[in-house]
Amino acid sequence: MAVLAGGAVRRPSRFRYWRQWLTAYLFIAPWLFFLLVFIAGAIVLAVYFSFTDYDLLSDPVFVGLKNYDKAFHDESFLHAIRNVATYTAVVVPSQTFIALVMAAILDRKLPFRRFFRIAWYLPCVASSVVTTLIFMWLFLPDGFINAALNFVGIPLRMNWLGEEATALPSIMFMNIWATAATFMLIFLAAMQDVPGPIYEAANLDGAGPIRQFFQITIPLMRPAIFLVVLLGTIGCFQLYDQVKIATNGGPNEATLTVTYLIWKQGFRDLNMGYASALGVILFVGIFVISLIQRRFLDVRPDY
Amino acid sequence: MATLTRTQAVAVQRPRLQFRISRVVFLVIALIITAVALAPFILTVSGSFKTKSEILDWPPTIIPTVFQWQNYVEVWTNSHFFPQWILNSVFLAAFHLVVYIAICSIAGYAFARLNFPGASVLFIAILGSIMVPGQVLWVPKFLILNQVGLVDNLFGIALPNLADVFGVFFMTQFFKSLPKELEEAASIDGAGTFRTFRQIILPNAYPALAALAILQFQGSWNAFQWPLIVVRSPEHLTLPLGLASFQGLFGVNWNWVLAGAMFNAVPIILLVRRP
Repeated sequence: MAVLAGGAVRRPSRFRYWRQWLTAYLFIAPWLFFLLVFIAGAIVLAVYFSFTDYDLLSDPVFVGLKNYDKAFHDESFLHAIRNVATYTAVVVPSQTFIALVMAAILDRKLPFRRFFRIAWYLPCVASSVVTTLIFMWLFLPDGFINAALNFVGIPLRMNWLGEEATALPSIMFMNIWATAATFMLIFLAAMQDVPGPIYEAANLDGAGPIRQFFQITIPLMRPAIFLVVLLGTIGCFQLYDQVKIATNGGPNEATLTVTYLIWKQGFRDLNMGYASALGVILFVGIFVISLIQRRFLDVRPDY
Repeated sequence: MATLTRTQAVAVQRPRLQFRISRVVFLVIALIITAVALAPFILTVSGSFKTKSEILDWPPTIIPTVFQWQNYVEVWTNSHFFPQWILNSVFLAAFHLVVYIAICSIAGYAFARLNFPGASVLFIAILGSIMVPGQVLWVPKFLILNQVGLVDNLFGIALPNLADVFGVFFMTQFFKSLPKELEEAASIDGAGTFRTFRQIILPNAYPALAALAILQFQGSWNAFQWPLIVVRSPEHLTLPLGLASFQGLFGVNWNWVLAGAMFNAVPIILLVRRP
């Protein structure tokens, strides 16, 4: 570093340190400005507004913990939490399992491997708006999902997104379809990192491919599995796009989520204070769940 | 190399027939997954060429009976501001790529190579802020924009996105992986910090910059949540917002949706062939 500062052998003077500090701060200044305003500042404001009543028109009024108290008595919010919990409980295990299967297949030397990889990844590349709109069309009573079911002998003409019982499961399906391949990439990278000699040793010991998969590959991939479960859970807690576009939280709150409620309270009903409180609760929820998962899912690989 | 030896060893060990069967099973599963992954896209392409009534026919047809370009013409000419939405999205993506990558690369370089007080605290703050979900900041970010008059303005979408910490983290990790000797040589030749960065470091960072650019383009081009909060007037919508607005009070214009979706999906699919 002394060389970099230009001081060569002589003792670097105080001035040189100052110069380097100044250069460094100049380098980070543009980014730091946006960080301080739109992240650090915004976090402080979010917490502040969560203690106020604010409707954009009149000045914010400090109300203490009222918004938080209101949240836990708000039927809609409790409903949203139940929906998100159900949604997470189904989506995270299914997408983790499907991603694992996809990665395990791609890890073999199958023909058309490259084609499969690109084709499977396409759902993750397209915009959530486009995929949601496409699925809204496929899920219509006259759509392809019903047609496919009729084709295999299940004579249904459901309005999947319009019925209370099937709206949330339909969104689950949409989202697993759209995100599984992202997690597949994480698994694939982890699988390819498992050292080959371990498999050779297992072969010599007479372990078959299925046993090798469950007793070598899976245990060595624990950090990747933890990452996928954590990222999946965080993603599920933030479910928004599909709900906003396809169902608007309906029918009858069947697909209401916490983030949709934040939007509705903040930007439709202009309860900015209450929306901020819901946001803070969402953040705390995600934070706590991450900590719990870290405790229960052993992160270290077993060697 | 490791995979190679592994498969060979497996092939030698197991009886040939069993090996074949497992291969066929895997191939069948792979084909099913491919069908599920691609079917919605294929049906959209074929649907975008159907007539307005055939799009909603029962039973739905896989190949259009009448093949026509009408939907593309209509979405481009009749649907309010469609060309403007595309321009808005292109402008936002271009602005974001140029400014964001410039900001992140210089900041990342400072974190990777320059010593300054507060560097480690700031870097931990970066990692910490990744934990904060975007929706928590909707209200305060909107109120800040409201103060400075950027609501319903494309810059209201663009500026807050520059605070995203991922790029700085990504570039810092990349610059740390470059050999220090590069800069030492430059500094012996008398180059200052900025000149070293511009002439020595940046040319070596092209692969990382390209990777970051692709990721960021995808994010900007597909963005929905934040733009939805910032802009209201139809002429300021981005392409995803515009497409979402096709389903509204008067039911969904499926022929516009399917043709319009292609304008969003095709560029991104051509550009992002990542895996």
